[in-house]
Amino acid sequence: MPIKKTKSFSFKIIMGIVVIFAFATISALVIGFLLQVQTQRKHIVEEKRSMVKIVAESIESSYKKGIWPFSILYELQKSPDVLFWWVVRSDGKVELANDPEMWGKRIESPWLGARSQLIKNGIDYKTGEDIKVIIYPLELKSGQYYNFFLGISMSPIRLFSLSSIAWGFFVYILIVSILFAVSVKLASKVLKPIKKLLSGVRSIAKGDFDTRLTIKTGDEFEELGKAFNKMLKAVKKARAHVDLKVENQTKEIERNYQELEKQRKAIMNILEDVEEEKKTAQWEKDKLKAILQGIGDAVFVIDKEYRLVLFNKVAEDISGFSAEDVLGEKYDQVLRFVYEKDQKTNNDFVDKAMETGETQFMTNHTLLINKKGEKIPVADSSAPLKDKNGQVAGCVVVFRDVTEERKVDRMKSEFVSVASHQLRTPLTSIKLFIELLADGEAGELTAQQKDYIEDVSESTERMISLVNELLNVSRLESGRMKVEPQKIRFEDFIQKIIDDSGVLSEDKNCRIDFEKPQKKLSKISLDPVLMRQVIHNLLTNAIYYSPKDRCKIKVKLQKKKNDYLLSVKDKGIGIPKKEQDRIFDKFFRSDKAQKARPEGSGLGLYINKMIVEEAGGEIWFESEGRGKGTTFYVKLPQKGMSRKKGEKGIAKS
Amino acid sequence: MYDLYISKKDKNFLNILKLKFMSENKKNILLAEDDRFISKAYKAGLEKAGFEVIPAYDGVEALKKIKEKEPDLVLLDIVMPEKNGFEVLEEMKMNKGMKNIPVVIISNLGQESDIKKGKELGVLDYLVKTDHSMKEVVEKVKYCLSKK
Repeated sequence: MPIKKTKSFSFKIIMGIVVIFAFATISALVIGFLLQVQTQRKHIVEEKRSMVKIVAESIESSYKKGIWPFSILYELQKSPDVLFWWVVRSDGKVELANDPEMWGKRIESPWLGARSQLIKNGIDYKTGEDIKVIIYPLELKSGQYYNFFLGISMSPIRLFSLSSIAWGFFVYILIVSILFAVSVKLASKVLKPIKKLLSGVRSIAKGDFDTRLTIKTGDEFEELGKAFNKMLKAVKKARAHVDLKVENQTKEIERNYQELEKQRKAIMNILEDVEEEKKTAQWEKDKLKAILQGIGDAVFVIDKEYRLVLFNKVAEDISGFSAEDVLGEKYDQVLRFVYEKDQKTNNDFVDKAMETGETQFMTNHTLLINKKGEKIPVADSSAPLKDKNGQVAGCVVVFRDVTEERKVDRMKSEFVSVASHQLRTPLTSIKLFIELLADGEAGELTAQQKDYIEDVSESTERMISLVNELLNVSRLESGRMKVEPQKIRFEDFIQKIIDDSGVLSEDKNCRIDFEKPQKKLSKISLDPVLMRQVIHNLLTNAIYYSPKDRCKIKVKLQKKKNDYLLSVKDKGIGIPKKEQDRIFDKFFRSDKAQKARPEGSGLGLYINKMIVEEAGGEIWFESEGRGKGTTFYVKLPQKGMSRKKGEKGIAKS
Repeated sequence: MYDLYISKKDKNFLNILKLKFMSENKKNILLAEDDRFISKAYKAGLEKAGFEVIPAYDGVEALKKIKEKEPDLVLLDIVMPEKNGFEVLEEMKMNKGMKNIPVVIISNLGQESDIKKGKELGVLDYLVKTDHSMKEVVEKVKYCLSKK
């Protein structure tokens, strides 16, 4: 703490004393001097009056003798106060004067011829200073009066002698010096304990509480010192207590600070993580955006309020609107999707996705009316976007221009239709003629002819079956296979298919067991044609790939929770492990199967898989491997199949 | 029994007579089928089974012959030149004389929608050619005629 530079206290006191003494002595001197002057003046006037009386008497006596008393007059002249003396006739003529110039001159004065002594104030005729004039009557000739005029100076310098002034000054200086010394001594005596107190206070200010004052003046200062020491003791004690408290608090603060520091670091780490996360998220976002922008399909994203928040390049191309124009707009105010059939607005796929939170596909034959008003056939899907809480926060809609696809589809459809007709027509006639021949309608056949005709018949049947399967695959693959479910009793339905396989199973001497669930099942929605295809295929496979006379097939239908589980178990050739992955592939045939039944197309299980998956079910198998038989499983949801519009049904294979 | 009295020459004549007599009782079937080979095969099979077969090779010819011959049953293909099977069906239903003639469709289309459409137009049955043997077709024809 900087100490303000101040004039020391002792200096102030000494200065004070000096000023007071100086003032006191000066005023005493002045008063004394003034008083002295008054008394001196009275004294001089008295002295001079008596002198004038003596001088006048001696002049009177001498004049009678005819001489002037010069010795006395000279004596008078020597007095420092006497300015002038005149002997004046009553008519104003100066008979005698100290100044020769005044001799014979005439003066004017009211006091000429005065018969008694007069003392009057007057002015010196030479210097103009204030003077006292003593006028004394002289009777030099009887009956003729003269006056003696004496001018006395009233100026103080003339009143005092130089030596007396010097002496007075000396005495004054002496007294002042003695007084000054005494005052300084006194002041220092008073100041000493104050200085001690001051240094004590300063050392306390520096934090030294062990300082003790030793003031032995025996007066109030000593008391003050004692009180000061006492106070120090108390302060020290209090300070020790405070120190402890402060120490504790400091420790506490230290701990808190460390805790805070830890938290700060943790927060910094979190912030870094968040930053990193942010960057990653941003990157992901950018990446996603880039993907969405660059994707070959039109993509737009809407928020909860159905407002467009993303609109990619392809969407711009197809719709004719630019992203700049449409972002922020409600999507249905910009993009008009309508049904091809009745041109009515079709926003179901978006609404449903938003409502149900499930991915929706646009119904077939949807048109998008673009900026120019052109109708563009589109296919699309809409997937809901969910926030952290699983709430639908928006929707991503992907759509594409299917004009070309439609064209290809139509061509494919036409091709399939033509192929179906063109291939099946000659096959039909071949089949019919073979039948006519085999029945002997064209004359009895030899045994060999019959044998050949049977071979041709079998090949024709195979050809017809293959054409039908290809047609089915084509329809399933193009998604044009329609599904027309009916309520059927599943166990009866299966039983019927087993019964129908009679000829084939009799050939192989097969025994087919059907294990139905104990409780009668409720009816299930299944497309009988499609489902028949699946079950028939599994059953015939089981028969085909079982060795003759060792053909035991077990069909089992179970209800498992919300699913139906159908299994077809055989003890046939089995499926080698290495081929198990490919068993559902199109045209794939196991080596063993190829050997056991060369005429197989390799399409049956492929078709089965497509149908079952279309129905929302699963198909799989278990096989221990070669020669150990196979079990195929088909799991179908309880609700069964849902209706689906399509152009084609399935052809019998 | 006749063989005993009639010479070989007469037997020939008798055969002709017999055929003539039978033909009078024979059921007429109009076979509308554009493919010659299939038509020929069906004709052979059906004649063997004792039916008289009137072939027609397109829709217009089929309609004309149905009007003229008033067959007992029409076997109708769908995919045909000039007029397809459904158009023929529709015209038959519009015509008083033809609307009660039973129709069985023989086609290779075999799609549910076609079958449904056919049934709506009052056909008795819908046969997919490749799926049915000659015997089955003959059986079906006999069954449909017996119900008439």
